[in-house]
Amino acid sequence: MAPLEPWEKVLVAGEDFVGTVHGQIACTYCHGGVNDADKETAHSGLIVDPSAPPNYACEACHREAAMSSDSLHGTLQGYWTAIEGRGGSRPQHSAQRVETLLATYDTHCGNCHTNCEQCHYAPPNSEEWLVKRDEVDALRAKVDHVAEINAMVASPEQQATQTMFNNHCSSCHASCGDCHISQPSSVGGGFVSGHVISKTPSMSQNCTACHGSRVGNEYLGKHEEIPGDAHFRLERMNCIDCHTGTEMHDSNASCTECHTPDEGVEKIQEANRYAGAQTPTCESCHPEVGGWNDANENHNIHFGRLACQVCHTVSYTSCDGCHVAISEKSGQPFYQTEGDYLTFFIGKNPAPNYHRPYEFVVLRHVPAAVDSYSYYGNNLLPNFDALPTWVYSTPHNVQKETPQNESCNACHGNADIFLTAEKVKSEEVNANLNVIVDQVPGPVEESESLNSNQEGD
Amino acid sequence: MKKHLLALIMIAFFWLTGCQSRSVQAQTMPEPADTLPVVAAQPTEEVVDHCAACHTDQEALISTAKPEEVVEKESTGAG
Repeated sequence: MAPLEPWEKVLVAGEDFVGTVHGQIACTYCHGGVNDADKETAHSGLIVDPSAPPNYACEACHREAAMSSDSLHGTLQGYWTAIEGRGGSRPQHSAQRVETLLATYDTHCGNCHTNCEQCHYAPPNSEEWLVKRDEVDALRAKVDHVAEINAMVASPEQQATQTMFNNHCSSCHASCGDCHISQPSSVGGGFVSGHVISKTPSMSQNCTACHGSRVGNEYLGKHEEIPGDAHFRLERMNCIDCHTGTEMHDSNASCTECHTPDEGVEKIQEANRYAGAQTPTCESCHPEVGGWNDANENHNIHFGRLACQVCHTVSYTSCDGCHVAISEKSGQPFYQTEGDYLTFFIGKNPAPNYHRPYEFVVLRHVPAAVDSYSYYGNNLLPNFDALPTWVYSTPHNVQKETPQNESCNACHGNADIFLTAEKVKSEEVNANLNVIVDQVPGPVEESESLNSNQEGD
Repeated sequence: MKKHLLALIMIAFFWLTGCQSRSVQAQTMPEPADTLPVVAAQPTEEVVDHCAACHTDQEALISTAKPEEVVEKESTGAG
């Protein structure tokens, strides 16, 4: 996708936009600035993206989508789940808040706690000041607010991790405008349709602009000799045909259909995209799979034990060793990965649960490394082995027929497609113990009826 | 029966009393004051949307655009 020219990025489609509901609103109402013919004057105090924090301009009217700030695209909680799962941490309180609390304490509380006579007394005919032991013990029994406040100060490691996140991860934050008005800033930004606000984001200029290197390339068939996803090849389905606005705007919507808020499910669904209920699910469009009337015996045998992707996806991208830093040349943040390559590995489900009860799933290697953030500080991921580096994955290159479902023994007994210990880097074995397949499912007696279930596209 | 009749008479009495007080008030309403002078409507100045005027004009945007600084991409890998 060619980058837009500077003027193209800000060219408003005259009648197309002005004629819309949003076009009736004065530009300065959302964007700030000044309604003036001089450019410099007009752009003073300009808010480039009023839909982004802290303004959240869209939510003033679009309350139904107001949860977008709490969605994974808004919070980027998935990154923090991975960082904190490996022992990293971020400041829990801003430096400003700590300062405010200390100042408040000094103003209202400190005067009472700095009175010498409260703890000391001078006996008659003595110059020695003694301690009122009972009084001191009583004071110590109370909460030490100063100690509490000091404990809120971020550690150097927390500050370093937050700085790293701000420089490298936060750019993935998607505001309303990043999906419905403009291209993401990661690809240069600019209006998609002359500021006309699109209810449906563009697959090419919005979704895959960010989700391009893996999802976009797989889905669109950009890897040599690997077909694109059948949903795209055969039906020309785009992203939102499966990933609805409800999923994008409110990560918890599917949870609250079954769970009450006091069950704590908000925290579960917000952890990452694979937490909580599956959204979307294959079964929502393919309800017959594994059902009583499913003519495919392979489905009946494996349903619930294998994720759909185990049989129905093909090679996908894995990555190694991402390291982030600030360029000495340009002063800009950048990243470097040690490599990316195509893989297909079946492994054990790292976290089986009610919504994903599978025994076997497809795994992708993520480029996390113990020294990924070493530019910002030492040992920022002190518990690196707590999470696997081969992670649950849902490749977007679904096929009806794949090499591993050609026959039963194309998978059974085929150690090449299972993540066994020798395929894992020695320094990562401990981290991946719960996903490594110890015992590859053995060969089975081939059945004509099972093999005849395969039909061409 | 007598109780109902008595209640009805009491209700009617209080209702008529209320009407009388309103009519008394109506009789003591002050005369309307002199009317205020009517201000002639002034023609309003049309508000020009300078934002849209510039941002819908391709030539204006081209002429006022700042040259974009080419930043060499130093990131490598899939990202």
